[in-house]
Amino acid sequence: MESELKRFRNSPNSEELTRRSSFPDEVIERVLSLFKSHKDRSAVSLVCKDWYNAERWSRTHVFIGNCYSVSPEIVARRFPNIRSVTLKGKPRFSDFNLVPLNWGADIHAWLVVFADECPFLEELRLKRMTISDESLEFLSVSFPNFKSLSLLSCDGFSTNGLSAIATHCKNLIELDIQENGIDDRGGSWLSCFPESFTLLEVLNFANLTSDINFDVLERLVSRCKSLRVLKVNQSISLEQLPRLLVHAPQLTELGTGSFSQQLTFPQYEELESAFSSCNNIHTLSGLWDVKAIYLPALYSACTNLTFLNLSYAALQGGELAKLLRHCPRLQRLWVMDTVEDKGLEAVGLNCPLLEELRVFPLDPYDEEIAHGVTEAGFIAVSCFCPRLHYVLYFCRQMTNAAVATVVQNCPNFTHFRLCIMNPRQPDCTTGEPMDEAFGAVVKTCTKLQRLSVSGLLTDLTFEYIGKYAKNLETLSVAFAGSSDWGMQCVLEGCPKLRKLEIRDCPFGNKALLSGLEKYESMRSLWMSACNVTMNGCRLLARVMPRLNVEVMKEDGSDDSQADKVYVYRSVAGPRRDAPPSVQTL
Amino acid sequence: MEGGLCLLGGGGGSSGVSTNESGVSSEATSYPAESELELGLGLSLGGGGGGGGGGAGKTKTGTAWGECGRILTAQDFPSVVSQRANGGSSSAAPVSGTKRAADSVTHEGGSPTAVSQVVGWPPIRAYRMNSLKAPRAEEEKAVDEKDKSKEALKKKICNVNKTSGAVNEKGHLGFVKVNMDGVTIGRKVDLNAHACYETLAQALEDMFFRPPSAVNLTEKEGAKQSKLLNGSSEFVLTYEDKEGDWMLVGDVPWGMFLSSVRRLRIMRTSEANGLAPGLHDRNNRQRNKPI
Repeated sequence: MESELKRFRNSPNSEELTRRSSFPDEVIERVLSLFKSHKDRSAVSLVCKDWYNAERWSRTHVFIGNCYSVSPEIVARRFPNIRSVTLKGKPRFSDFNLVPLNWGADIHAWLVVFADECPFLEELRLKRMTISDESLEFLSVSFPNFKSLSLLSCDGFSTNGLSAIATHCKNLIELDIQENGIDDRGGSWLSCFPESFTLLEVLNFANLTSDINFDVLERLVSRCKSLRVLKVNQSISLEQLPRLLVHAPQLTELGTGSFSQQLTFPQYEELESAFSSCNNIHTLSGLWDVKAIYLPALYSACTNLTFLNLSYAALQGGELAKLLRHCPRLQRLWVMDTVEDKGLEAVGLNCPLLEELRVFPLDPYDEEIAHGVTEAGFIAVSCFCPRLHYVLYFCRQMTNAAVATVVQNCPNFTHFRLCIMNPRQPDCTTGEPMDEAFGAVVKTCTKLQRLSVSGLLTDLTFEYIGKYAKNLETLSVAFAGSSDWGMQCVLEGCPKLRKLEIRDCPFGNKALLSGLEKYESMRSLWMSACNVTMNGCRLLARVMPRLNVEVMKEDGSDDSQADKVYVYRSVAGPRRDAPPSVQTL
Repeated sequence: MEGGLCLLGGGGGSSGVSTNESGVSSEATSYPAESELELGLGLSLGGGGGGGGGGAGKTKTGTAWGECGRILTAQDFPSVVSQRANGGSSSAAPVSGTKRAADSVTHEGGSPTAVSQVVGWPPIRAYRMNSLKAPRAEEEKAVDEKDKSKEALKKKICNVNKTSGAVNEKGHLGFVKVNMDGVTIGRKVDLNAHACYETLAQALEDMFFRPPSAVNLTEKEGAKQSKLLNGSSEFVLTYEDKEGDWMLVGDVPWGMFLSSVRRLRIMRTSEANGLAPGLHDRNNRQRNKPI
């Protein structure tokens, strides 16, 4: 290497010398190919032109956090060798039905460009994009090396699109269909995999509802020897599950089907035996309609479990406790709040290595029913799980003191998402706002990257956030704040802020406009049901031409009000595919 | 109004790990001190006749689920309280997501909007809710009924004449509401998680009568018989069927019960007159017990 360098420096070609940097392109490219993180790669590409070029030629994976921030043509031109693309489309609040239908984020234009410029594309991971069956078919025939499709929170397609993928993608290794707005027309798509097809490594259809042909599935599983992730849907019964497991003892991730069939003793034994030969499972999910008496059948497979997803399994606390005794290595746990505080205490007692906890509400809308988790369960987990750094907690009550205790026990939170489900609910013991709770979070958790706040909150919360949350990148706010000042504090105080989403807060034009320069360093801003007006948005759009300012109006609202505002930086200019309900200013 | 409720067991004190008592008060203002009452739930087993009367004169025949109904001795249950936070919190007035927040700035004393009236709140992915609600494509497969012996699984498995999955007309996962007389706040129970009246009764007992204390790590396997089937108590378990009639739980085969039950109610025996022909006799017997 060094001799090469010396030879190079002594080269008589001075033009070459000035043009090139110290290393030949091939060397730089080789070195840069070791950089995986997009942040690193972005930094590298800014060093100098040569490095920019070397980086773009060696880039194989592109992550685009907002599909409208850049055009497919620009991406394809800059990165001719990409094999894998991750795209996120709609604003996150579209998950909660706050974004109009047909808003956009259609993948098709991207596929057309890539088919031309990057036909060797192998992997596509989409979140909150719209994708039609035609697009899926186009995808399946346009990219001969296509290997990996992952869809989360997408819509616009049906199981017919999956049929096309199964039929045409000869090199498919991953089909990962998570929670999506899919039109489930039946399970025949599974039968579209040719009998000769053996390459599958990841198959996830857990969130589809139709029956599939079990024999077809069994044959597929048995001939795909490299299958490591299998997540089936509710139509697969407890009786059928062992027949799949015996074909795939190498599985590392398993999503069971329904866990509630009536079993005879021989059937139970078969189930237990099948699980006992699955020594490699580190992720377990599914357990739909779980009958707790059958859980012991899977104890033997739980020894090495690091991620247990019970978010579809309505377990009671005691039942969870029994299960967790067998999961000492658990790092990530998702549960439903049917486990209640009692279940969370068991989490604390049995899972000292826990890093991530998500508690989902079974019945978020039903107020007559008293159940779920409280501040006590939160504290209990924090007491015994010092490594906890990611929490998503849906509850009906919380106290400032409890949150303060939790972060004192676990100061390393990177993601703190607390959802007190009744909007604007104060501390349930003192009646005070929850300002001090989130104050404690931002003061104590210096590594905090993501924060979701809830409960009764004044501007003080946002003063705290602006003052202390120096690593904060994503902030979600709802039904909070007292005045523009709150939002201003955040915009002025959080240097690393990238995504800000706000709904139903008393923030108006003054707040919106206080972030003028900030928005170009952010991915996006969402404000809905706030006090922003059309004039405020127009001003923003005028002053900041590199931002797209999109307004969505509600039916019957005042003409001057900007009901929903979505602001994002873009090098692609205003988009041309917005529906009539979306106005770009 | 309800926003500030501390839930059952919300008091961290019982678990010993909370550094802050949630100020839960035990004053059960809406009902008398129940700790003095002997609580349990009466459930008739088998068809008609005699059934769950107060321990005396039970004429249980060898009905299929009669084997589930072992009799336990009575216990004292701690009072069931729906505990409210001191001072009840002033719940704010959330508004629909479509209204501008400016209209809702005054949140003292405003009547709160139900969570369900707010668009897109709580923030749970809509597609997730769809997955949870999705009706099962088919009923549980019928399994050969002959060979389901109780000791096989070392737990109680109930013999049922017909295995039929709970059709998901009740909402999430076969959950139905359960209300108990004298208790303001109801609960929900997942009928799909149970195979017979015994386990259901046990679960309800756990919900309404057991103190939500710290996990009992030494809790016994094969839990003791539920009081629900005792019949010697102040309460009976009833259900509302598809036609809107209130029936005594246990009168019909489990599968039939699953397909017709809409919700449950733990009713004071004294109010359960005329529910079913057999109940009248039971009540007569029960009136001999001190209240």
